[in-house]
Amino acid sequence: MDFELSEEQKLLRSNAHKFLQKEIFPIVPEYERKGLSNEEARKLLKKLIPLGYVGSTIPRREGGHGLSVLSYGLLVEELASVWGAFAPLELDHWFGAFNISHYGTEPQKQKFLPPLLSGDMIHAFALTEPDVGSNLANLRTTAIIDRDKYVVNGTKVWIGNGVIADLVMVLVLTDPAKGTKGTSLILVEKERSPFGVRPLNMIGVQACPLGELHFEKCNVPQENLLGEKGAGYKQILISVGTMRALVGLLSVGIAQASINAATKYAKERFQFGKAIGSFQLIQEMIADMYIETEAARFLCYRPLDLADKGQRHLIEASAAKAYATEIAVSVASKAVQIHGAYGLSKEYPVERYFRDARINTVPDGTTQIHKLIIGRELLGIAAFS
Amino acid sequence: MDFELSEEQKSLRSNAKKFVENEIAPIADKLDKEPLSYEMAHKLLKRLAPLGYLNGITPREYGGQGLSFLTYGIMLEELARVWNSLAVVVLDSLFGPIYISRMGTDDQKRKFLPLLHSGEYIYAFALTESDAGSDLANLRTTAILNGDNYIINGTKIWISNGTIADLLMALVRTDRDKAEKGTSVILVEKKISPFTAKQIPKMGFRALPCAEISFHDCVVPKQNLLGDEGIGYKQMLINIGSMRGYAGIIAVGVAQASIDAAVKYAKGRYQFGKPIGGFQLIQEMIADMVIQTEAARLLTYRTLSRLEKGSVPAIETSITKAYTTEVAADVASKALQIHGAYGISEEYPVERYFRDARSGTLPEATTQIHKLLIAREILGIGAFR
Repeated sequence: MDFELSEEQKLLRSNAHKFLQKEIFPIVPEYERKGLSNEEARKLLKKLIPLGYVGSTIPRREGGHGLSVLSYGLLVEELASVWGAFAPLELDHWFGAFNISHYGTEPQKQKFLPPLLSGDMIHAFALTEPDVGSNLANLRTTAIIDRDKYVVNGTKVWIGNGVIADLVMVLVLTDPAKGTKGTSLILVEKERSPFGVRPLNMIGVQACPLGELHFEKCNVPQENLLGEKGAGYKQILISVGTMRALVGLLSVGIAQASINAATKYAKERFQFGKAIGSFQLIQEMIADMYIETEAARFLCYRPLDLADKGQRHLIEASAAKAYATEIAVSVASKAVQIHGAYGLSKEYPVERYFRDARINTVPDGTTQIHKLIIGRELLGIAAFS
Repeated sequence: MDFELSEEQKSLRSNAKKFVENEIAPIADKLDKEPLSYEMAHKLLKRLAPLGYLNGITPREYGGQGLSFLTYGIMLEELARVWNSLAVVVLDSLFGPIYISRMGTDDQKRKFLPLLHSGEYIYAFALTESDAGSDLANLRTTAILNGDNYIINGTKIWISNGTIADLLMALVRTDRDKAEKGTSVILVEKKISPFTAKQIPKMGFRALPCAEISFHDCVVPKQNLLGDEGIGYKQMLINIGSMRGYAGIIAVGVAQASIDAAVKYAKGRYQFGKPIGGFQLIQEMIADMVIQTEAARLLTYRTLSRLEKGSVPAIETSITKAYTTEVAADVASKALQIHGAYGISEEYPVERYFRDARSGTLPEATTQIHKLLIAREILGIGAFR
């Protein structure tokens, strides 16, 4: 058992940290106010590529960085601590290349990997529907074959990068009679196969709002089916553990930013003749924030290490995601509290950490679903319905 | 980073598990009703000696197994799971070999290590006084040099193993004019330097003898001083990492016992036509217990693994101790709740887990002290006074 990062990992993280603090942190407030356009988002993604982002875990021979998922996780954590909205943007974008690298045919890889890995196309993954959240079984977006194309009909909602995406990987029903065994993944190029987009106003991730996507007789070339027909759900399940642990690290990043801000403020803010960091109630809050974030960090590293080794890690991933996202909310909330009125002001970043943290307990499996997953594993009894 | 146990560790764990389940579990409930007698304690420790529980940590050159801190911790966790009190007896006695093998003279090592390794001698560490708990520097027990002996006067309290110890290591004041720098550590062998030990009955860790110890002109040969005069407090701090790391093992052990009991009960207890494990509120409790215990285990293993590599940052030891013990108290409380009325009955072990877990947040520095230590490290501001 070894809890140390390799020298390479330490360097990867510190390079990202330095760059993000210097080049990204100062520009965040402006984009939070205006929102990011597709062009602006791609320009920023391109800046991050040399640090190991975007093509992170994609094999080098396919144009990626060939990093382990644990190493990529370190990068996700660093980005999230600087910008809670851009980290999920990059993560959701990476997920496209990840799945195409895994399931794509050679022609698909040759067509889609270069623009995704260069930041010339932004990817979104569309799974959730208005009536289909925790309960994936009743998917309604269909993709019915019509000669050489699939005709996609349906609505997807709460889609990260949905507003700015050039390429959307959609989970569709190719065989409605078979339920989850009749689902497939299909790549929808927005330019070629237009669909309607409505931005959704969210309390957090305001630089990159989620989108509602309307597919109305949307024609998608047959060759855009990704992987095996009917295996859509199964294909997603294979990477879901990794995604959950990465979302956990996203939250750890936000928690760390909250700790850093609260620590700085507690040393500088004077009341009753001394720094408020001298008071035990404040000290306890800081200690609790630190303890929980450390615990969360290792809970998240573990499933990524297991994923890298090709071992079962779904329960560990559920534990990581549930815990890390929940404590980040508590940690960010404490940071707001430590800042007093300044914590409620938009002129300080803590209120953004608080709003961005609050988002993460919901996607990629709600906290409650993860608890039921763990419960089922331990008790051998399912309590979902 | 690597979250896997080595083959040696896995095999030690499974041997320890078999042993404790066959030899210790059947007698734990009955013997936990009151503090172990001198005879019973010695009998039990001698039974544990062949498995390496007493000499596990001592380097091979001094007759020990030379196990790493983590490997020993994995063995101790199995004992802690089955009988938390006995694990604490063993752990507290283990500090005899830890201190003496690291700081003792050759004579002290030759004299005391074999006795401690075989279970012939049990060891206790006498630090705390009635006016010196968290504020240990305030201690008042004196050791005045008189010819070839130190004369010890004073009272220690809450001394684990106090009534069964053959060898006591006492933190004493050798210089009244200095605070921490006036303290020394001295080995008091009961049969040549008698002291009185009065049992203090406790709510939790019931089988762990706990005593108020009085020294009245207790004559101790001066060669029993461990190290030099004036560095007692400092020497004690050297082993803080292992003390706190193993406090984590004790906590994780009782937390795991609580989970195992709760899962078994939730599967077997039927209400409203199904096992109570089929209800979401119960599933959530179990999931929360598991998540927290997993996090506690990772933090504990990290501390122990880092000890092997040299020193471990003090802040990490505080995180481990504070988090694991608070979590164990919460986990055991949930296990009690899941058992319904059976949880408060003495015929089920859960109430013992609850009382033992609750006791863990106090020794090796209270949770509150650890939070102040953590915050001082982060903020650079001490809030102890």
